Amino acid sequence: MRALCWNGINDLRVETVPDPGIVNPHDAILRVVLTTTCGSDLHLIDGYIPTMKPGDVLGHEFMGVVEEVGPEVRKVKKGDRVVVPSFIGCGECFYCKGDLWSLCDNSNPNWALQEPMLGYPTGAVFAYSHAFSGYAGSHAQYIRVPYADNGCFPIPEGVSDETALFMSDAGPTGYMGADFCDIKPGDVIAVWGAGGVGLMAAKSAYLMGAERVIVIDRFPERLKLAREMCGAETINYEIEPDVLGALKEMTGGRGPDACIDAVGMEAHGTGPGYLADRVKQELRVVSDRGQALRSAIMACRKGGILSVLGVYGVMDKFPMGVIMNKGLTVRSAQQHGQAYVPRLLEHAAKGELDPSFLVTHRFALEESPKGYEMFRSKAEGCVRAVFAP
Amino acid sequence: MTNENVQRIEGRSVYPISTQDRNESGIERIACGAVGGLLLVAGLSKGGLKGLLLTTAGGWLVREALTGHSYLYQALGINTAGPEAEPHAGATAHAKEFTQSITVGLPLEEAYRRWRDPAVFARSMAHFATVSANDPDRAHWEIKVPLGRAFHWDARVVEEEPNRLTRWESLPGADVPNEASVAFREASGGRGTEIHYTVRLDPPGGLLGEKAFELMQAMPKAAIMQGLHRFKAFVETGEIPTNKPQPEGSLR
Repeated sequence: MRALCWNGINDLRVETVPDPGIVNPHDAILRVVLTTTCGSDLHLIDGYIPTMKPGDVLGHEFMGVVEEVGPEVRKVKKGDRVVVPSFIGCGECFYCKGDLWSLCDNSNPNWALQEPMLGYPTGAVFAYSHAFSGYAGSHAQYIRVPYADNGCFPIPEGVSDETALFMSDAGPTGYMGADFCDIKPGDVIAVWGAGGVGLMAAKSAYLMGAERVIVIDRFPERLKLAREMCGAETINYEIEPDVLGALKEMTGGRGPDACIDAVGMEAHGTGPGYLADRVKQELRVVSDRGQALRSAIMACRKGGILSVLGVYGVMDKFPMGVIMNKGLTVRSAQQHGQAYVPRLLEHAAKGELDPSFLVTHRFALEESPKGYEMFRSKAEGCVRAVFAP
Repeated sequence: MTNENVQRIEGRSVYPISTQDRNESGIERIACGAVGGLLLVAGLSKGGLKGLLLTTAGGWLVREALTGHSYLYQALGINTAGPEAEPHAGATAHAKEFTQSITVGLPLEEAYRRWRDPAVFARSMAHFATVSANDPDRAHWEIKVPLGRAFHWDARVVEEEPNRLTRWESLPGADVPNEASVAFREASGGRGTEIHYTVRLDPPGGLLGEKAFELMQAMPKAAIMQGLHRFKAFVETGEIPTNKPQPEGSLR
């Protein structure tokens, strides 16, 4: 089959690779119908994530049709149209049973690679380095889904492929980020990043009862989507660099009740702090640029919640003292998709949450390297490049 | 003391490396181990022919370090080994010890029963060893190293408290003399059963040998932890996760 392979830093190629097959009894094989770029892929492409190998098939956000199931699969069958969260959960361990699916004890075969990095191994994720399992990804004609009974969610009739697609990652991640904020009536939520995840977080925050949602970014087309598709207020930090001041004014001097970081390690910023970060990152002294996260930490009201969705490695200059002195609660995780997808599909079926507006560009799989170029450069207002293999 | 001390299940013939074949001193063995280890790591991270040569050379030297036997010395009739311990059961008083632990979501009795099942245990360790057993209280271990060689030993249960502890000792003539003790306890809060796997292995020799051994210990420690993870995945979910075979690009 054809698949998009990572072959080194900034080296993406579509190649012919072997088809996946059933290996373990709880596997399913899906024919991929739609698969999309995600901001975290850029960290892989730019070489900030260790333990990638040339030939790795990329893609972790997808939906498709079940082609084949292993002998122990009970909940899905051939022909089912399903969406699959990026993280894989066994369903039986302490963490899966506690709805903390991305922390699964059992789904990652490469425990030994991950334990030195994180202290404890976490769950497997499609196409996000070998430390995180090395499972082949979805930018391909077919994909093997381990523990398929937990991973494959049938899509209700009337929910389109493009709507369901984002329930694989952007949807559950954003929704979880809003869930972390413990939103109460009257709450003001600030979101850094108006990409797929940030926009979903903003929309989800309203669904959960936020009074106001303020989205911060620098791309006018993305901020426009935040206003028009999510109903959010916006701050363009290139026009208004004093984000902290703007947020204080918008909240009567209190600060937002919760702050969601949907930016991550390749944050862009302004000023000497950002330049220092860039230099250190280029030299690989640290892996992260922390501009967005630091801004969120400063802006959050005292006693508020910091909800971190951005993917990070190692950061220096981390304002722990601000967190401590302001009594912030930090909540963070890779998406626990399995806990949220059913709710998200329900919202979608009722027309309350439709992420399909994120599909700004479509490419054939053969053109996917160009798709990533456009996605990275954000040219033509690109928010997500979606591939149909 | 001959190779009759080396017992093999099923009459499998194995390259004999008993302690009386040692002809290198402790320091020479440490040097072999250090250089061999570096070459192995270098070879494993490279690909292709160069990697293969480095891995082979490294593996050969590691073998030499662990067994204390040099073919070159043998051919030249040189023996620099000092007075050595007689072939013995289990590990010696100089053995270094490590423990790896995992919690499994099964009640104590069931966790113990599954662990003591030779087929389940063998599957759990299959990532680095072939463990074969005709009965639950005896096992033959084979660990392959480069150049078609392998480390072998037989082990038997020397102590058992059902649902609490099993202690194993390698029999005399083991390539890597060792003891293992596996303790079981109920985990707090209904989380299941804790399994604590303690291994004692003999270092090559002397104080300097202990330092080199600490470096080498990383390998058996990680292998045992992997085995615990595999056991847990198997008994909790019915399968052991794997990403082989799977689609991958041709540049590998």
